[in-house]
Amino acid sequence: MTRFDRQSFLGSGSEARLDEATIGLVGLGGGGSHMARQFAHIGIGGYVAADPDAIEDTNTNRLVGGTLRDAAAARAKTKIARRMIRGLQPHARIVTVCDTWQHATEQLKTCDIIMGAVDGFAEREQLERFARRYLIPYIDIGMDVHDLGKDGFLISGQIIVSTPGSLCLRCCGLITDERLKEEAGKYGAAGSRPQVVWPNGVLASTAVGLAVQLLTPWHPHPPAFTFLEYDGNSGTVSVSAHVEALKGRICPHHPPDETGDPFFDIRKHLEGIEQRPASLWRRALRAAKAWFDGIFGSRSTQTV
Amino acid sequence: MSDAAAEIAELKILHPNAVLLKEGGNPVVYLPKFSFVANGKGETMDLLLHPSSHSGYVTRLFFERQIAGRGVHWKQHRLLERNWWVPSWKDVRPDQPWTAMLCEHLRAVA
Amino acid sequence: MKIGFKIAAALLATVRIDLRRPHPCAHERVGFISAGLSAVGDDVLILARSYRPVLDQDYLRDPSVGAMMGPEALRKALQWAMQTGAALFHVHTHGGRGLPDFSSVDLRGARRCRSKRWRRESTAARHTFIERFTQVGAPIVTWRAA
Repeated sequence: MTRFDRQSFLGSGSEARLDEATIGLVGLGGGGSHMARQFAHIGIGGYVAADPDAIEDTNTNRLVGGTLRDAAAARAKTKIARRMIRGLQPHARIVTVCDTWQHATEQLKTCDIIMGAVDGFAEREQLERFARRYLIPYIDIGMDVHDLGKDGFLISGQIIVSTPGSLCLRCCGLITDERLKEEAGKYGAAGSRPQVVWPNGVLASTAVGLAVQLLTPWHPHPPAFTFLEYDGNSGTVSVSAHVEALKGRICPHHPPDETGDPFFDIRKHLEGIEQRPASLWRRALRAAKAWFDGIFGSRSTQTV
Repeated sequence: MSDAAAEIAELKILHPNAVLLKEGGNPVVYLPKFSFVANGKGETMDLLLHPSSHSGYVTRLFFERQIAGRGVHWKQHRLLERNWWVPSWKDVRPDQPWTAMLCEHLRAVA
Repeated sequence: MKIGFKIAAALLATVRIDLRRPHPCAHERVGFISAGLSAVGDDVLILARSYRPVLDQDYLRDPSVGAMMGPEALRKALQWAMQTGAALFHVHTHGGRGLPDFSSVDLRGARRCRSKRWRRESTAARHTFIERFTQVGAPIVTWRAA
């Protein structure tokens, strides 16, 4: 018996599959902290968690795993996430980067899925583009509280799955030039946007479920693209009308010929490795191989 | 939309090592080790000219690093698998030669 | 140095369907996958972009092997690589199940390629096995070298 017995419906190899997987968590605030905890609960083995910030008092209304003591100590959100994950997955492979995700790209490249819980449309656009370059599915969540005047407030949000080859955040209208222009006009001053724990929980939970479907689907048709809209006033998560309207369309925003690093040169990469001074054991191995080849002749295939 | 091939040919007169790449299907010009004057002194660094809309601006010029004392609201962006810095500098029109566009953007840090 | 290969599920399906098409005179079909590359530390990640089959008329008749590409096939492939700056991977399938490996014909052909113009262009004249192959889609499927 293991602690994952109750999720055996995910399939006979699911425990190993989840343990082998590495999830990128960009943003460890209200949404990201929820996702970190849930992934740890279900047994994800690898994490790359990036966030430049420390927890503040005003975060404690929603940052899962964060305590008042953490806020008093101005503890880094990455440390809180690490502690939370370790509490459930003591042997997890956790890489934390207490910086913007642009400084965690070497680590994020290795992820199976990247979860985005970031502020701002420009950030989302860049993150999604990075994920597409490395053929990594990207799942984005976000919430907002809209002032409706005399009608009160509307809590809303979205969960979008953006898989290489499928539609993207621009295709479904989340990112538009108008929104980017409006955001640019604020010069990064997002202000104190209303944020509360329960919508983050709905969005994060839904996103985690969609991620698990990409790793160990429990039904035969997990979506490669979906756009779910959360209405916090009616308490519903439903498929956006955009999904049906976009059926059959091909994404023009992420051309398939833009994978990889355009500045990468395999020759320089190999020279860099070969010119590095070899370790003692590697020199011994080479000497032994040269002796062996001298006696028995070289093999036609080498495995590097 | 200007003819990218013609524009890059003009830019190469100014900077022979200019390279035309693309991101999101849009042409982007990589200018390695470009020399210019900023804040009264000479600077040499990689630049990236984006002659179409990006992050809410009609065109942008990205810098390898921030220039102290020049430019405002510097932000970091990731393009072409590198991190770049860009100041807020609005309304450099896309309907002009890229050479002129580059010069107009460099005024942000002059 | 470890190699990882990632390909979108739809592209992989396209490749598989094409490689299974019968050929008028060859036993096997061959093609090329273009890809971008990236370093991940010392390792290399291959990120597939698109696929082009070798056209029927660009095969040579050679009953001693499953498929023989003619010079026009190679010229087109080289041109594609040079025009796009992409890495190219020659691909075909032997069918069957289990861990794939190079056949003796594959190894002979590769040695022939390396002995000529390739050696001028490349420092990497060696066989390398892919350590991790990932089909990216819904779901994500990963195969690892034994």
